[in-house]
Amino acid sequence: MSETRDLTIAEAIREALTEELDRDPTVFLIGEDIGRAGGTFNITAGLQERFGKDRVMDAPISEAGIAGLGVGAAMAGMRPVVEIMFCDFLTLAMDQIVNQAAKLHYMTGGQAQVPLVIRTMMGAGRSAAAQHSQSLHAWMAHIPGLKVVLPSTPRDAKGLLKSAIRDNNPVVFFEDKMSYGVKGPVDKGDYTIPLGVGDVKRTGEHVTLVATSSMIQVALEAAEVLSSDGISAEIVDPRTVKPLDKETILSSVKKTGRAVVIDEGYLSYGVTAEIAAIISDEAFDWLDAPVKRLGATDVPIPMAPALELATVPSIEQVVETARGLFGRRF
Amino acid sequence: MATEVYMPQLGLTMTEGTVIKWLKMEGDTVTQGEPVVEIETDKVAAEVEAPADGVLGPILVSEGSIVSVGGLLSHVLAPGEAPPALAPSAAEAVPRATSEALPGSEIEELSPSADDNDDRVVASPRARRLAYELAIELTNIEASGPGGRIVEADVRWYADQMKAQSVFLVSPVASRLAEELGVDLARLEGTGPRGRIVKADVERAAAGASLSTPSPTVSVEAGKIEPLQGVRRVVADRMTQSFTSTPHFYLSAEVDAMSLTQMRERLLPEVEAATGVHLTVTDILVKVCAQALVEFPEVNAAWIEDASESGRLQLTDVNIGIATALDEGLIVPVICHADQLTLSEIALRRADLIERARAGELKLEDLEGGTFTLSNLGMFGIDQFHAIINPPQSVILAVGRIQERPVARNGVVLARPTVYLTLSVDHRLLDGVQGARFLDRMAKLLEEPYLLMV
Repeated sequence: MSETRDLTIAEAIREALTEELDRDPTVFLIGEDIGRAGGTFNITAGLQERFGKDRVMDAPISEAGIAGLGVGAAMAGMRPVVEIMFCDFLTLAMDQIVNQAAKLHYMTGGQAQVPLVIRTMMGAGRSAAAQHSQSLHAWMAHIPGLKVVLPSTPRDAKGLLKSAIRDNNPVVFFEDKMSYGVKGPVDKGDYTIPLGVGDVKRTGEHVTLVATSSMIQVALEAAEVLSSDGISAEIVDPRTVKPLDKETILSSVKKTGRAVVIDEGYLSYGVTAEIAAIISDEAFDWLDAPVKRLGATDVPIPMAPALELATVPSIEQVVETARGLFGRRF
Repeated sequence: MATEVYMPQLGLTMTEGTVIKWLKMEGDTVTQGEPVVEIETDKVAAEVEAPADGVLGPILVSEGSIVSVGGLLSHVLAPGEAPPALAPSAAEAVPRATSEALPGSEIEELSPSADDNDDRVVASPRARRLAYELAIELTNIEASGPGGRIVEADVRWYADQMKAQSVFLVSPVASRLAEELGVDLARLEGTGPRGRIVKADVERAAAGASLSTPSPTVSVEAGKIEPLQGVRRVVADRMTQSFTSTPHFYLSAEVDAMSLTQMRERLLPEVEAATGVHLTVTDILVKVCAQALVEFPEVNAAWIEDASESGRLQLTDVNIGIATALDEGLIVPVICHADQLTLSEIALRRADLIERARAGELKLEDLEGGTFTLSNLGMFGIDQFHAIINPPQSVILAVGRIQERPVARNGVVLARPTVYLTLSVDHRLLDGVQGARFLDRMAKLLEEPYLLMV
């Protein structure tokens, strides 16, 4: 690895966008309030000044329109990076993403490509209420033809976003709004992290915590608590839920024999269900306990902070769930 | 968080254990792995270790109490933490029975009555896979996982126990340390009580100081250790097993041998005329032992121990084994039904066995079925010695030489022929008084051999 410095996830994403705009003239950004205002969370601050209004475009409030524009531009040879401010608003762009972007390469027999990136925000925690707090990445992951990325660290965010922009398929890039301030080392200069390769964020022996996005921080803190019980937890971050790095997950579970899958999406029919099913299926004979899942409570996310927090998997929940997999001998 | 200190299961048949001694008191600081309480089962003594770092909570079971496997003994608490409230059944200690009569006809079942609510074994796939690989029946394994599920660690623990039990006694700390250090327990010589392998033995082995050498001060040249074979190997294994696992105690008596000597001299020509065999002191001893065993049937018993049960087996036949030295090693040919034989028949049988033993012509049946062993080293000038019990028998009699010794009688020192009898007794089967009565009766029969006629 080359020289690093500590950046926040927000800074790492801005750096990736800047470097890609610099590197490739076909890359452009479009989204609501990303230009003059610099984005809701200042992610794109300064980019319009530097690259001009043609490459960093403010869009009207029309998610279906922005997404459709992105699909068309991508088919015409550009590499658009579309921002959908909150992933709750993906619903408005669903036809463009699901029925157009995801399928055109297939339906044109490979004649058309859609190298489109949709950056969007997920996650509860800011009292943004039920329409601005969801984590709807499972919807995207459900659709063949879409790639779905969930970075959890600054280094991953930069490397994965660059890979997403250079990928010739539509990629939906989910940024957790509570994680923008997470700091970590980021390599200077150009590097990419391939889509579909997971990462072991902490090594351990007794239980595998498979966690995504914001839940990595929760899992890391839970692992510290568990270590005081003598339970050594390994944390696997798939980094992309589509494609999913089954091998890294399975080899960890085969080693530890126990797994807890943690994701901020809704529990029912969610990412945790998919990963838990794969583990139960393909690592069955290595399991020493049932696979456990933790996700957002199946309710509209409340605005009241205490209630909102109660819907998201907590450190205590992860610790208790993991402990529950152990008897007195392990 | 409070961590339970519970009665461990140390053997396959262990259902309960006795709390012998608390090594830590309530409020003492303990570190994980540190012994907190000594417990004892019908087979072994062991130390229960602290399952976590912290402070020992209230002691829930007093010394001397019997606790079921898994029963709560105490907790390890975080400093300042209050002990958890207990359900009434949590400490299911029962007072130790003061004395236990051993009814004699059958092996007493010391194994648990199985919980027959549900036959289904709950085991994780991982545990099942390992059990399959190790060819272990899941039904034998005690579950430690949530909801009574057998997990991989249980299978490994059971496999280790099987390995440990089949060869040697080992303390839990030593067992764990050996695993950590990769020391093969089978190669260690235990220095703990009853030959148990303790932590220090493992550490010494790990340091390369001692493996199977008897003393660290003896240096062994490569290739100089001669592996034992045949009879010597059998003797080595059986005596090691007996001496390390049988709780021996010893009773000695000096017996006036005047009448015995006279009787032998008087009968010698008679027996020779009838059988052609030279009557020996051993022959008379066989007769005396057989008579005493008939009178004290509780001595004619065996300690039976296998994977599923252990206990006392009452024997009905009186078969006397005679320890016999051969060049190749020790063997014990048996005179069956010695209580029903005349002295001449015993002498004849004895002479036949010894002759065939020296010729290497003994059959397996000549060596089987002994219920009592007689070891006489009198002819080698030995005054007195302590013999090792020949398992599964309850006793062995060691006989020294008949020798004129000063004996005080009514204030006068006389020179009288005497012989020392030493009885080694398995304390699991017999207590001191029972052994003493038996030995006293043998002494009486030797001093007044006409009692054999009664």
